[in-house]
Amino acid sequence: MTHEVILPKTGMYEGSVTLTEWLVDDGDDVIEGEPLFVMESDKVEMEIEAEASGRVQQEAEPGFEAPIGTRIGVIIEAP
Amino acid sequence: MKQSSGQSGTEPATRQASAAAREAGLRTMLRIRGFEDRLLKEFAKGDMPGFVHTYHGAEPVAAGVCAHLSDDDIITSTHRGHGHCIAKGCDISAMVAELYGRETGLCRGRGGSMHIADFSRGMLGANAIVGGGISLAVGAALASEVLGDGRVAVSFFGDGAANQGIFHESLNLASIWRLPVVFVCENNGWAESTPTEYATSVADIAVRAQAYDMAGVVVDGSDYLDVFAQAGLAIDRARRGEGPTLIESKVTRMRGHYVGDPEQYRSREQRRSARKLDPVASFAADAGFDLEACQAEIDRELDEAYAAARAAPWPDPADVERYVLSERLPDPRLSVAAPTTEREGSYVQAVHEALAEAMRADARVIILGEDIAGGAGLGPPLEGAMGGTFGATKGLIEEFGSERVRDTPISEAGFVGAAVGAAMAGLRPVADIMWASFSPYCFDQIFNQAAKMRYMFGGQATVPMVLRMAMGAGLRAGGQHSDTLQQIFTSIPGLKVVAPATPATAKGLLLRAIRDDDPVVFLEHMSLYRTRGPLPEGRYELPIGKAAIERRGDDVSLIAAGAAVLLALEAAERLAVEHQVSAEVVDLRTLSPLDTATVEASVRRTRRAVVIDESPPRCSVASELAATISESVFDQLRAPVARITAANSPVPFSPPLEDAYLPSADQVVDAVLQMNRD
Repeated sequence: MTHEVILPKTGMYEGSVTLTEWLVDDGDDVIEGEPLFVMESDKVEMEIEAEASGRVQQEAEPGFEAPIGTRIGVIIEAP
Repeated sequence: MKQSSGQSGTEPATRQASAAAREAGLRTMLRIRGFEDRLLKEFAKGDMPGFVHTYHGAEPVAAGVCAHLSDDDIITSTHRGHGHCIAKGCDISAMVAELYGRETGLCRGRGGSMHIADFSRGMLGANAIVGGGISLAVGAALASEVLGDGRVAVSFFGDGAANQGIFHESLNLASIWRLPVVFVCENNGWAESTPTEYATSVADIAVRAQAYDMAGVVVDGSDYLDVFAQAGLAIDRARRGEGPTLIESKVTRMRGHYVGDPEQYRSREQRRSARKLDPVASFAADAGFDLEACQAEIDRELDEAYAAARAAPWPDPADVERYVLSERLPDPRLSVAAPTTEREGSYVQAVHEALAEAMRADARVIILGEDIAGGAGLGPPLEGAMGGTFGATKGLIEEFGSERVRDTPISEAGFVGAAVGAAMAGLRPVADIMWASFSPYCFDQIFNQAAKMRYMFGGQATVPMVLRMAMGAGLRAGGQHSDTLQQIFTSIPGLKVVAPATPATAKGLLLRAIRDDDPVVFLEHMSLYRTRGPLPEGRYELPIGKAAIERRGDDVSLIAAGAAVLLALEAAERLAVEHQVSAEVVDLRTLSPLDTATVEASVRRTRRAVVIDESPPRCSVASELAATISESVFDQLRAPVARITAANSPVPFSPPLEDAYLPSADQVVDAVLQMNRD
């Protein structure tokens, strides 16, 4: 099963956000609840946790700025 | 569990959950957790307006307390209120729709996550003012006590609220009146980013119960069975009439203050370990039923709820002002105009007669306030001999008893909050604030609670209460006993504001205000209490929102309310006798809603307007009227609208200064003559 990784809404801020850093390398495994990437939202940097366990497939580079809800990768769960 | 103070009695030491109760409790906790976990995912997508706070970690508290409550029992909640809603039986689909601000939401989209309510389930609202719900629960318990219907009220609040004044005032009031209320403090260790041990003087908030002579218990809020047992005992005590309990539930805030909180005040390690202290997972470990099937059922329900909410209609923008005030029309059979009468009486007698008539007619009417009986608890002849600072409530305790005529501690926030809660739970309270200048002490209860409840909850709440206040300058009472504050109250949507000038209008309007379904601020000018005039006997009502022509005239309209009407009449007489100017006097009677139709009709005829207002000039009723007249009658005005107001200062003490502060008949006469010259 594949889980989309999106730039999430955090708090009240509804503008665009920036992917700052991936904390899990492309193709590596992540466990649900572990930090997955860092993003900057409304001038605050924050760690975003993985919502699922599986292999991370990145689809955006650090510095990527986009509206909330934009997909930046997927987590592919082991069958 | 540890008992920090106790009350002797024959109660059992514990109240164990049966196997069925354990299963029901776990199912409730799983529903709450399922709701909140799903919310994290859906909120991230960015299509839910605003922001949300989740209940992760406190599930045993809502579930364990509400297990003992029926739909008739009442709870008040906090900005972190989803768990309380679900445990009290609120419909999940309507909850999700509310989070999306849709017309199909529990509050028709007017409330959102932080102001979610379901009155059909006795859920009187999440409250986004920290501590805001505590006094409302006290009031609901007061309603239960007066109506004798056996309901129990529970207030959920956080550790941060335990440092608010309203917490202390509410506990004191509940204790002295021995009300059927249970205070449940969910101590999650944080008031947003501030650690409880920094902000709170005691290690256990439950010990604060000792200060109010009530039972105080610390429970492990991560342990459903502990919460269930202690909440059961407390609710049983309340139901038996043995008074309130403070339960402190120590819980873990598994997540941030709000969804998306970067939690800079917790280290990564602290955040992770908080996530692992999961009371639902540990309780589910020996569930004894098919967890997967239960989870699948919850997921299905949430799938449907989110799909329905996203497709649901928005509220109609044309309805933006709907639910501010009640839409129920007054019953015409009971609404009669003041009969003409030969009988004379004073203003204070008029207020007294209105209160007595209203209490005779309706057992739900109670009055409460400071010194309204006097000598509370001392028994006759001392108790009741005073009868209020101005004597307006004298004799009422003899006729109606101390159950319905309640002297309060000097605790404006506490008893006005209780009046709001009592109104929401079925009474028609009249709260006496003695002096309007004291009302800022209970501004939250007036502004955030009474005035907003109906609107925020999409029309579910009815808050039929009257706030009587003596007000006005001229009595040499100085800066903190003389304000009108009418400019503040009239600016608040959801309040009605009445300021009668004569005994006859005071009686008819107060009777109407008590039967009104909205909160009414009833302003009694102190200089009027001893004035006399025609005073019809019996029960009659005058409409709120309707002005009257007090004196007919052709050349200028003098527009006023309260004591300023007498000033206007004096000026009109002088204008007629000394200057042959015919002035019309419009008595507004009600300041909100303003009867602009009567004002405009008068000014259209006279083509000149002087507005007299005893408040300071900025953003005043005078300003509002001047703007209204300018907008609607501008092309027919012969002169600019004149405003005669108080000085832009606090009310001074020294007599020459106070006289200079107040508007005078001289000023009104001069303003009119100036208009006629131009």
